Amino acid sequence: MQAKVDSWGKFLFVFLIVGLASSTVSFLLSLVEAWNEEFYEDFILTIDILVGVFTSISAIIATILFLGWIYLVHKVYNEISPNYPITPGGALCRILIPFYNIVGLWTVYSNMSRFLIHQDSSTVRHARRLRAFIPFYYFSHMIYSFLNRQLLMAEEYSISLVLWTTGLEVIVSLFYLVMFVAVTSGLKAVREHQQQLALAEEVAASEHAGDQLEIIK
Amino acid sequence: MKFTKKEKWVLAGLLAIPTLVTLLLGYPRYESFYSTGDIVPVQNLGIDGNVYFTYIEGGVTNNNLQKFLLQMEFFGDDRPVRFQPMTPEEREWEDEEIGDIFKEVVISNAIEASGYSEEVDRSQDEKYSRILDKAAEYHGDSFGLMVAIGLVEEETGTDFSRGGKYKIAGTGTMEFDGTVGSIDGIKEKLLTAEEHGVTHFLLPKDEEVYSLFYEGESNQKEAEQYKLTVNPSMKIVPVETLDEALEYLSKLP
Repeated sequence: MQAKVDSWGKFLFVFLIVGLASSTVSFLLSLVEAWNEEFYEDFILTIDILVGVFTSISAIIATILFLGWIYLVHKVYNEISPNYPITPGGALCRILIPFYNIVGLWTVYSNMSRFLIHQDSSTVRHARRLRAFIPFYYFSHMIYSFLNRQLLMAEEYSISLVLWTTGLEVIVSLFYLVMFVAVTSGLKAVREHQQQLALAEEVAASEHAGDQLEIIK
Repeated sequence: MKFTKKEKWVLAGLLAIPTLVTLLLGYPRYESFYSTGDIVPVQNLGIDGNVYFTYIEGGVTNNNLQKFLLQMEFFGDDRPVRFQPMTPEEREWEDEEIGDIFKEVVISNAIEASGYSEEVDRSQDEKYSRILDKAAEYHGDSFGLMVAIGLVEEETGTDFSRGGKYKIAGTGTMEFDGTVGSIDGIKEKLLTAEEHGVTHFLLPKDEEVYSLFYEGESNQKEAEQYKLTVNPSMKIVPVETLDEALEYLSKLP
């Protein structure tokens, strides 16, 4: 299971980097459009559409990878603690179901942070970091989704709306990456804590066996 | 972050998806496209005539992405669109905007062939400038024949439409000697004319000469095929010269 989470995480990380890079390029090209529309239409438009195509397909793949990864992360947490409040399927529902995800998206990460706080002193640092990033991640994601919908539905083309949307896309891509790193390092800390616990249990068990041997002697 | 060999292959495959799609869409492919347009009275060009010229919507796509977007646009408008690969020569013409030069030449030829105001000084030049100015939004030279017919109507005070009884439209370039030359997108022009209730459609009689200059089917041949497959209600009239067109129109009952 752990190997699977790691693999999905690695793929997701690469796609998040790709998303950040392509959204930055999109933003820069939108700046060119705002600066000189004629130049943009003559030389940049086709490149911009192609960057958009690349970004969109990458985003679809990144979304699939993210859903798979978050499912596996929750599966690991549920294996570690059967009392973990969100099941893997529940996490997907909280992210995917419209309206429910307005609250759900926040609770997925806040529960994770709470879980890390109660694990051990070694995981508290990761929990605090995760908790600190949630509002940035959540609000940038929500505002970006709203602006993107506005852009798609707008009857009149507005360059300022394009600039705001592409600009925010860069910021939200950055926060996706930051959250990914926070969740991954939190998971890693929990795993290490679990390993230490298992090791301590093994040592305790072997010491207990040694004591029993002495009594028999 | 270290990747195993298997992970490297999977990642390469995943990254290849957006990359290949983007490259495929951006791959240069030059094609001209044709779709139906409209018929316009020659009066819109400042000619006191009663015939119409036909224009179609067309242009050039430089890559698969532009072609795809255009297909989507026409699909949304529920209009047919036809694509045709361009020869390097055609691409060069497009780059040099040679269509506009042809337009200037054809207006000049139409004035000359129609015998418009031969006796009056500067009158031909004024007419040329006026038509060129009014035709600014149209590209190409396919309205030459109808411009010439319109000028004949204006000059002689003839009404070939017989007071609106007939709706006469057509297409074809005009040579200096009155010969009607071949044009592009004849199928779409026929469709446009049929859609707009044209009763008589004039087009180049070019079956014998087309292969000397161009590849593919002549305008006349395509029109015959159109006649057989669509069975249009309008009369399709191939003409070789302006005189032949005028003779046909003057004999209309």
